[in-house]
This record gives sequence, C-alpha cells and structure tokens, in this order.
Amino acid sequence: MATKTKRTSLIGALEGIVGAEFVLHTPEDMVVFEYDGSIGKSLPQVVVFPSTTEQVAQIVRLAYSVDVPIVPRGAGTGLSGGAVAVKGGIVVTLTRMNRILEIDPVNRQATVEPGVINLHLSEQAEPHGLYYVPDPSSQRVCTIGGNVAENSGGPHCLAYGVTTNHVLGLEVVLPDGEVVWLGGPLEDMPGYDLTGLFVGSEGTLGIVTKAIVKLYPIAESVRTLVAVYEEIDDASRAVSAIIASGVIPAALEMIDKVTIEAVVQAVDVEYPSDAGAVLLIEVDGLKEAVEQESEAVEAICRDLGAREIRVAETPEDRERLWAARKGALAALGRLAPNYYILDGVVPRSRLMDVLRRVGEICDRYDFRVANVFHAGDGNLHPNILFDERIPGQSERVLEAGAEIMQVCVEVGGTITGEHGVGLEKKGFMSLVFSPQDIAAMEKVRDAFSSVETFNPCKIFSTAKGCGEGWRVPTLPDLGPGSFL
Amino acid sequence: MTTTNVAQTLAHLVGAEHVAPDDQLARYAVDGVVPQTVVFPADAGQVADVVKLARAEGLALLPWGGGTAMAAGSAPERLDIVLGTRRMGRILEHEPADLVAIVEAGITLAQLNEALGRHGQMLPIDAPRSERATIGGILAANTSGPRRLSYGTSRDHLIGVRFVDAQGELIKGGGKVVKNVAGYDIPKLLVGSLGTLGIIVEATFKLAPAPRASSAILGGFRELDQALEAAQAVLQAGMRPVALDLFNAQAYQVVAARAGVPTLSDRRYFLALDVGTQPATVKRQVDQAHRIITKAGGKSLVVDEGTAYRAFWRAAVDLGRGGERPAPMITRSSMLFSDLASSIHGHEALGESSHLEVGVHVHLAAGVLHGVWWGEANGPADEAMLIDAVATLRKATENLGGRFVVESCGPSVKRAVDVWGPPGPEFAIMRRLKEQFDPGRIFSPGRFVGGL
Amino acid sequence: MTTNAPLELPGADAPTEADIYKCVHCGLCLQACPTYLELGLETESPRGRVALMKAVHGGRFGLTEGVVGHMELCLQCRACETACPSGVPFGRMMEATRAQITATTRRSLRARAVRFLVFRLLFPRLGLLRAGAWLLKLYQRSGVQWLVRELRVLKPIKSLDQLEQQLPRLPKFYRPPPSELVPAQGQATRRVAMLSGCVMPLVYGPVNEATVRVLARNGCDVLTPRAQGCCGSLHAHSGERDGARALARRNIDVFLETNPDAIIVNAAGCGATMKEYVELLEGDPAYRDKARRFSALVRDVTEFLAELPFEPPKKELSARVTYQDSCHLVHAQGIKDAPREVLRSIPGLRFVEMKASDTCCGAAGVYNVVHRDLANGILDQKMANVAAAQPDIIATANPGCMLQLEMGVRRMGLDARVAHVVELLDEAYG
Repeated sequence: MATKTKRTSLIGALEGIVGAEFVLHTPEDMVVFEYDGSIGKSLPQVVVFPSTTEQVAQIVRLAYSVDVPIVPRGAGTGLSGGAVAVKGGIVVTLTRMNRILEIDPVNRQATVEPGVINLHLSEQAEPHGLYYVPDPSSQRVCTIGGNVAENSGGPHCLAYGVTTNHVLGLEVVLPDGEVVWLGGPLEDMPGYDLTGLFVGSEGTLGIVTKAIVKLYPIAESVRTLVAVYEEIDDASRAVSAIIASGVIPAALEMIDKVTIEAVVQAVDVEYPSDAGAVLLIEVDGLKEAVEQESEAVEAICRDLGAREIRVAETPEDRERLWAARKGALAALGRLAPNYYILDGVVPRSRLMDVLRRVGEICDRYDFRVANVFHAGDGNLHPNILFDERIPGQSERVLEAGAEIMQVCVEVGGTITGEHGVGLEKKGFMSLVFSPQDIAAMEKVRDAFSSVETFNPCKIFSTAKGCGEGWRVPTLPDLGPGSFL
Repeated sequence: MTTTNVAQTLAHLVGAEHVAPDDQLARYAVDGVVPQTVVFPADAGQVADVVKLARAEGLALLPWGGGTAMAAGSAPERLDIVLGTRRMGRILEHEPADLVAIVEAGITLAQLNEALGRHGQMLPIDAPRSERATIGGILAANTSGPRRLSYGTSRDHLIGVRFVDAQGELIKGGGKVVKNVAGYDIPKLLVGSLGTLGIIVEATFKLAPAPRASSAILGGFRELDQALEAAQAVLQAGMRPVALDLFNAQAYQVVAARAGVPTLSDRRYFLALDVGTQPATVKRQVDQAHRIITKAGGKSLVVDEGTAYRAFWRAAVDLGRGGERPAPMITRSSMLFSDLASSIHGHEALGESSHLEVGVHVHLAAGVLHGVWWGEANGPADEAMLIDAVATLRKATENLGGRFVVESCGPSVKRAVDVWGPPGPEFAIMRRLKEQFDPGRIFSPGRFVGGL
Repeated sequence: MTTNAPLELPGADAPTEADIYKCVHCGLCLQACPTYLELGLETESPRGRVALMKAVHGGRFGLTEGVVGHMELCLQCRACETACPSGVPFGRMMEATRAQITATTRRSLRARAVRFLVFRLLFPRLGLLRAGAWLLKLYQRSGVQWLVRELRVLKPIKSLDQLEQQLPRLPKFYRPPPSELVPAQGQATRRVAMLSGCVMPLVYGPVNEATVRVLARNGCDVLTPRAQGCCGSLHAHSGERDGARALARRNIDVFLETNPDAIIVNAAGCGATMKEYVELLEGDPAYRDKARRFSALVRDVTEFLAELPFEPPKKELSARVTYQDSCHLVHAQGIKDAPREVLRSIPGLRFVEMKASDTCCGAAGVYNVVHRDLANGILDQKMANVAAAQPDIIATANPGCMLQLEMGVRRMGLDARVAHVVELLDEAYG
C-alpha cells in the first residue's frame, strides 16, 4: 500500500512537471516501453516526456530525491538494452525535444536537441552542402541523443569516424539533476575530455539535452559497387586486401547468403540469391580520386575471386542498395521471430578465420546465423536466428553468443563495436578487461556522479542488486490469449 | 625517506645507470623547479615500481618524454621524481593489414613514422620537433598541427592505451580494434591530461595510409580579408585539402626562410594548403586553389618538390619552438572560424602597441590560432609586456566566446599568469576525476587546469 | 455492440501469432507513422500497437479501454508496412484487432447508433446513401446552410459544428452512363469493368466521368455493372469484417460475371480492399478461389494506365502540380510511380514533389470526425508541406484524400485546386 501511495505521488509530481498528457503509467502503456531494439525487456512504472532541459533536470532531481531508478530513452532502437528499465522506475523519453536549434554552415556545426532524428539533421544540412556523418542503419528513426549515448557507428564510419569523432559539446543533466555543459562549440577546450568520456557512456553518466555536432561537406563524387562472391571466405579475403592496399573506402560492408535471402524479400534490390556473400563498397571524395580508388578496389575484388561486380548507375540504384543494407537487420524478421545480434570487433586481417568459427559455433547450437556487417572496420554482426517461444532457445542463444564473443576477444578483438555493452554483454566485460581496468571505468562514473539509481545495472555487473550476467526474462504466461 | 634514499631505491629498481647523475638534474627542471631525481624505467613494470614508491613516500612524479612540451601547463606545485620514458621506445605490434600499431610511450613520432612509412602507412599527428617528441608526451599534451583538418587529432587516432595509475596498477583502456564501445572511453581520458591522471606506457593507434603525393600551394595576400575569403572559398568549393593554414608575414618569413621557399616579401598574409594525398587529385586541386587565390587578389606558389614540401610543413609545425628563432611565449586561442579575423587583427594590434613581434599561425578550419611572441627586435622579450599581453588576449578571446591558453612561456612569466585561464562549471567533474584517479596528488600536481 | 450478423465462418478475426511474431521491434516504422509523428508517443506508433496486440495475444491483459484507445487512434494508413523490412502485415493485423474490438467490447449508445447507420444502413444500401446525399445537397442549396452558418446555431455543439464545416460542397452527382457499356474510342483492345464507388459518385461525380472517358480513349470498352455495391473497405477498417465479407461476395459475383480483362478502381482505398478480398475470404471455401481470381484482376486506374501504356496527352495544362500519395495506393498497393508518370506525361505541367508526400493527410475515413484535434494536427503538417511546394493543383488518387485536402486548402487559405490524377489527364486529352 505504501508503495502504491509512493507511486501515485510520484506520478502526480511528474505530471506537475510536464503536464498530465505527457506522463504515461497504465499497465498497457508500460508494455510499449518495456523493450528497445534488442532482446532485453523490463517494465517501467512510469514514462515521462519532457520538452525542456529544465523539465529533464526536475525529473532527474525528483527521481534522485525519492530514490527511484531512472532510465533515459530516445527512439528505443538501441541494440543492447540501454533504454530498458531493468529495475523499473521512470523512463525519460526525449523524443519531444526534437528541435534543430542551429545549423552554422560557416563553422560547419549544428546545435540540436537530443530527440532530433539522425537523418533529419543531414536533410536540414543538405542545402548547405553538408551532412552529419554517423549513419546507423536506424538513422531514419534513431535520435542524436541515443547516438551520443551509444557512440553509434554506421556503414559510413569507416573513413570518417563514429559519433565520438563528430561531437564537440554536450549540455547534460547529471544524475543528481545538475545541468552542465561539457565541451562546447570549440574544437580545443582546456581540461579533461569530458565530452569524449560522455559519448558512449550508454546513458549512465547523465542525460544529453543539447548537442553540438560537426557537419561534414558532402562528397562531390561517390561510387557504389557490389562485388558478388561464391564463397564468404573470398569476400573476407577481399576486405582484408582492400584495407591493406591503403584505400580506405567510405563504406565496406558484407552481406552473407542468409541475409540476402531475407533482404530480397524486403526490398526490391538485385542481390543475387545464390551468392555466398556480397560486398557493398562505396568510395567517395574528389572525382579523380573516386575513379582511381574504385578501379583499385574493383581490381582487388576481381583478383580475389569476385564472380561479378556491379556498379550503381544512378542515385536511385545507390539508394536501393543502401536501403537494402540498412533494412537488412530487421528483414531477418522474415526468417525467424527473433534474432540475437552480436557486435564483436576483430582485427581486419582475422575476418575469414573468425567468420568460419562463428559458423561452426552456430552449427553446433543448431541455430541459423545471418552475417551483415561493417567488414571494413572488422565490426561483425552475427545475427543468431531463434524463436523465443521454443523453450530453452532464449538461453541457448545467449550461450552461443558468449562463445562468439570469446572468439572475438581471443583474436585480439572486443565484445562490442557500436551497440554498447548494456545488459546482456556486461557479463562479458571481464573477457576484455581486468578488475582494475573496470575499476578505472567506475572511477569515471563516480566522478560524474554516485547516484546508484541512475540507469542502473548497465555496463558493469558489479553494482549491488544487479547480478553478474543478465538473462532473457520469461514473461508471465497467463494461459490462452485473450483475443477471441 | 631522504633524497639519497629515494635515489638509491630507484637505482635498485631500475639499475643505477638508469638514474640520472646529480649534475644532470638541472636539465630536467620544469618551470624552474629542479627534481630530486630522474629515473628511466625500462618497461611498464618498472614504471609501476616507481609509481608505488612515489605513492608510498608521497612524492610528486612527473613523466618526461622528449621534453619538447615541458613548458606547457602551470608550474608544478611539487616535483620530486622525473620519470623519463626514453628507454621505452619499442614498436610492440604493427600489423600492416590491420592499419593498427601498438607502441611504447617513449618512441618518438619520427621513429614511429619512419617505421610505418616502410609499409606505406603513417600516424598523421603533427608535433613540433618530431625527432624528439614522444608518443606519450604528444598524447599527454594533446599536440596537434595543420593536418588535423583532414585527419583529426590524437583523440581520433588513439584506440587503446595502457597507463600506470596512482596505485601502481597497469590499467588498460580501449583495445586494438578500430571500433570499440566496450565500457567507457578511457583513451579519451588520457589524451590531453598532461600527466595528471597516470603515466601512459603504451598506446595503440589507428593508422592512415601514407599520402602518395606531396604538394602544397601557398597564396600570398595583401589583406587579411582576401586570405580569409580565399580560405572560405576553398572550403566551399568541394576541395579536400589535408591542411589549410594561415600565417601573418612575421610567421611566414620565418617558416619560408627555414624551408627555403620564396618569401614573397610584398605580401602580408599567407595561406598554405596541403593538397597532397594522391597524384590524381593534386593537379586539379592545385589548379582550383590557384584560381581561388588569384580571384581573391593573391599570388600563388606551388611547393611540390618532396623535400621542400616536407621542409615547409615541418618549419610550420616547429615555428617558435627551438630552431633559429625560439619564442619566449607561444599562445593558443581556440575559437570559431568566423571569429578568427577579429582575433588575428587583435594579435597584431597588440604586437604593435606593446612592441612585441608576433607571428600568427592559424589552423583555419579548426579555429586554432597560435600566437608566437618574439621580443622586440629579436632582443630578450620584455616579460612585463608578455604578462600584460596574456591578460589582454585572454579577455579579447573570451569576448569572442573563445578559450585562450599559454602554450609555453618562461618560468617567471608563468608565475605571473594563469596559463589555462579560469575553468568553467564543468570543472567540478574534472576535479572529481583527479580525486578519483590520483587522490594523493602524486602525478604532476598543480600543472593542469584549475591547479589540478 | 456485439455483432448480430450471423457468423458465416467459424471463429472470429484476430491477429495471428505468426503475424505478431514477424515484428522484431526494431522501430524503423516509427517515423513513418502519422500519429507517432504528431504525438511523439510510442503508444501511438505501429511498434507500440503491435506490442499491445502481442500482450493481449499473450494474455497479459485484455482488450481494455486503454488498448482500444490506442488501436482506434490508428489511421490505418499502412505507411508502417512500407517502412517495415520484416514484412509485418500491419493493416491486416489492425483490421483483425478492430474486429476483435467490435466483437468483444460494448460501445457507447451514440457510437453504436452511428455505426449502425453507417455500416448497416447507408453503405450496404447505396440507394439510402444517395438519398442522404440528396438531403445534404438540399441543405446546402436551399439556404438553410447559409442560415445555420450565419446564425452560428451549431456553435455550442462543437463536434457537430466542425462536422458541418467539413461538409463538402456537393456538385452535380455522377450519373452512371445510360448504358452499362461505354465503348472504346476506335478499336477496342480491352474490356474493363469499373467500380463506381460510394463516395465518389456523390461527391466527385466528375472523377468517375473522367475515368470512363480516359479508359475509352485508351481503347477500353468500359463496363459499369449496375448491380455492384460498396467495396466494404469502411467495414473492414472498422472491425466489421463480416459485413465486409458480405459486400465482397456480392461484388465478386457481379464483376466476375462480366468476365473483364481488368477491374478498374479510381479510389485507392477501395482498390486496396478489393485486392485483399483474397485474404478477407481466405477461410471461405466457396469464395476462396473466386476471390483470388477477382483480386488478381483489380487495378488502380493509374496503375492500369501505366501498364497499357496510355496515349500521351497533347493539350497543354500550364500549372504547377504536386502529388499527395494516397496511403492506400502507395502503402497498401505499393503504387508510387504510376500516378507520377501520368502527371509527368501532361504537356506544360510542372511537377513538383512535396516533402513527405507519402505521409497520411489525416483523412482516413471518418477519422477526422472522431479524432478531430489529432487529425487537424496531421492535416496542418501536411498542408505546410503542400504550401511549401507552392502548387496550383494538388493531385491525389482517392476521394477521402480529396475531401481532406480540400478542407486543408480552406483552413490554410491556399489558392490551389484539388484534383484526381485522372481528371488532369482527361483535361489534357482535351
């Protein structure tokens, strides 16, 4: 009863801050906020939609004062459970703070609110000949705030860097409710690189309420090509050879046979369904360089056994190839009800070896695996297909994932390249880092704040009450469905 | 423990021949503060031993690479041990096919790039006196130069780091793969921390392919507006210069003389574009830049012979630091590109009114302006003038929304000014970071922002 | 209101588990959803609505008022289907969910009365609908409307007042051609049957007339079967699946009887439903095969013309024209290029794309009456994009969209005409 009163008064207080229409709390509505794009699920008690920095600060202060867990959320497209309210509590959704406050073409930067959609920023910058580089596959829907939290990557980060290379300054609400600017519009700020620490902190150090990001000039020329391989091994060799040759394409992506099977159902695109793998390669820059580099890339691809190389002839062709790539992950929904997406990174010279071992592991567990990933960065995305309704599969898929992460680390790689540790990978931090290494990270967290209820149980498995690893929760099965 | 005992213990830890003899201690003075002892450990394990000793004895420890940036930062509030990294100069791993290298902190930038160059690769970070400047020092000081326009700075290249923390533990951050979001970005914590959080012992870098062409185009202008108009046009014309720098006449004459390129003495402002990445794009960019420079009223000049090209950029990076005309003070203002004109004029006006000769060297797109302050008529600079200049420049820069830092100056000027300037509200977090990582204040105490 | 129509098929419509589990909650649908864009709440998004369906299906809670509210706010524009890489058949799932709501929840007396009027009386019996329209026309032309508006008698009843404002000015009604068959001009190459629709003949009679002329001009004998009825789309969208089935069977019989080469539809909403008769009647052994044959013949008029291909018009139409994708053409039928191809073929016409042309205008049947504020918000956003394109003419492909856009034009005070794509082609044929 006491809990109920506390909950009611909490809701009342939140309504006082943002207005009743922007506070959701019914059981039905909470179901809609129990997930993100990953396999993690957990119900919050209340979801609040602030529209100003001050409101965010008030909400954070309130949560802190009543000792209730609080979790920031953007569009909920994250792939590591960063926005999942593991311990319940308040979910702060930033989607209403979606204004692009300024685009400064002379200084090539933009100031945005956290709920701005990644692609919208590039669209708004386009008339100035500029764009925002990081392009996660979910860029049509994901938010800049979420990108900052996860240090998101994307296909075109190979040549131009990930989110952290494009963020100059952040206005953040710290876990105790204090509002502070980290960095700013200038490239060089004296002092520790707090902006660099905050980017990729997975929403554990505070909530972004404004971001100043760099914009980059749109390349005058771009060429997109698809190299088709019978064998995935040959495709892997081609990737290593391209990187070793000293050409850094704007993007260098691999799509395997299983993924192609799903993609061709989803998008009208000519990826040959009998191929073992295709490489989607983009070279951009000055037109003379693009010509030369794309010829060099083509030659390498052919030398290493590409049976066919197609070049996108029109902007529409190019768009289709990319739409297929960016929709590839979700298209896997056509093959299975669930997928567990891994995000390991390996040295680029080890791709072939690692992909083989990934295949072996999934065979052993009797799971199909679809690989679609940023090959040029060595950033793998093995997607293990499964069905959560079949007893035991949810557990076994995590075990298979653990083995794959182990392999990545063994060859000198790491457990996550762009999705974040979040929930299900935190048990694997110890594969990569010693207790002292992790303690150093915790010192960083403690320097930002010591509020334990702020986005709890993410990244580190050492916090109390969180448990070592993380299991897929089994939701209560209340018998037959209540549809007629 | 007495000084003698400390030296003895260190000699025991690293070998007596790797502790500097007393008569050399003065060479390791930092801002006039002479250390009690100077030690050169062989590896991370010995660094950890030294740190443990310092911690146990409450001694202040300051890492020393090539000693090229020791005039940076505030004067240390204490200095007991200088830890030299010169024995830690190995390349631990370089897999060319991965474009990644792991090196010890004491390797010099020149050594590293020479080795990488044999594989057609490079670490595209600029640092003055690269034959002496070490990787550890470059990271700690966050040194950058002209090529930051296209390659970024240390924070964009450092993908992994090992450092010894205040407990003497060897801590790893990041890894050796080019994308990595496992945990917090510890490498970013170390970049620019000026030896105040730990001793960097090992660094892993994402490398770049070496350019296959070397070519620069210079433009001389009579008016600043013309030079900036041309720079703006270059940025908007779809060109992809590697560097886009501006010099005033004083700075340019020094650079040109050292590099052996024409001095164009009838011009007052100079643009320098590095357009050398590959042969296919050089000619077209040179032509394009030539048209832009000419249209803006400038006179253009191509530097495309390999030796002259390298000499020019090297002289630009080294400007004021050693060589023929070391400057008693170098300042750095960071601001928006759009505010640079006003600041450049401000520097020159101040130079005139205070009878100081000032070289201005600007990384345009980054909005970073170096003021190289020479004394009047090449004589010893009037220190009072320099001290006044700092106050004036800081005020002017901050009025433009910029930040002003004294990058190097002599001990007496340093005692009179705050080289960093007042920290902002985010300083509370920085202070807590220092407390978390170095509660006993043994690492370079007092040298960083806000007296950290 | 529990359905009192006899259930002719075993079981009731419900979203299937297979459909529900196609959703991998990636979120790529969010920015395609007009209600999410307007409200920014995931509860009003496709992914959220699927999560609710899944929760109900899994027995976590029933079809509570909260769930029903979110389901009813859906425009059923199906833009999420276009955005969804994993192929979630959202339209089908929402129709089934609405059927569940109809079957299991008791609506208010007023809602039941309205639904009875619409679904039982007016649309199944086109004669009554026509009679209603005559009354409306009488109201408008007799001066009563003028009086009502001048005296503001409806002001106190806000919803009725708004409804009154939304009423289209009814033109001359469409009279089906005196003969069921209008012969092709010149040599007939095809024989097509046309759906004349329910709303179209009353509100946009000239569109039907233009459609017949354009088809005949392109070598088609055009049949307009007299016995045809409402296509049932309104029923299907509103959870009256059985009502929709009854109408579907009638149309299948009537149209297949004429043995056409194609069944032509100029209302995208009707076309979408008719192409999906095959799904609607999946469980009906007597009609399953006939439905398949029927659906395979259905063509939107622009789709049909593009396939022919049509004769390029000669007469100049000097105007700046933008095109609003009708949701049920672009998202439900996947037709994006055909209407643009028709427009671009017109000499003198300057075609200009508006931003977000494939986002719903907020018409969606009676949505703009039931959810006025939300619909107005969606419409205002749409009209801002329209205005930015500065068109002389806004072309579209569905009567509901035409009505909504006309209201938008009035609300914004724009100087632009709303037209069906086929009308413009007809004009350009001269």
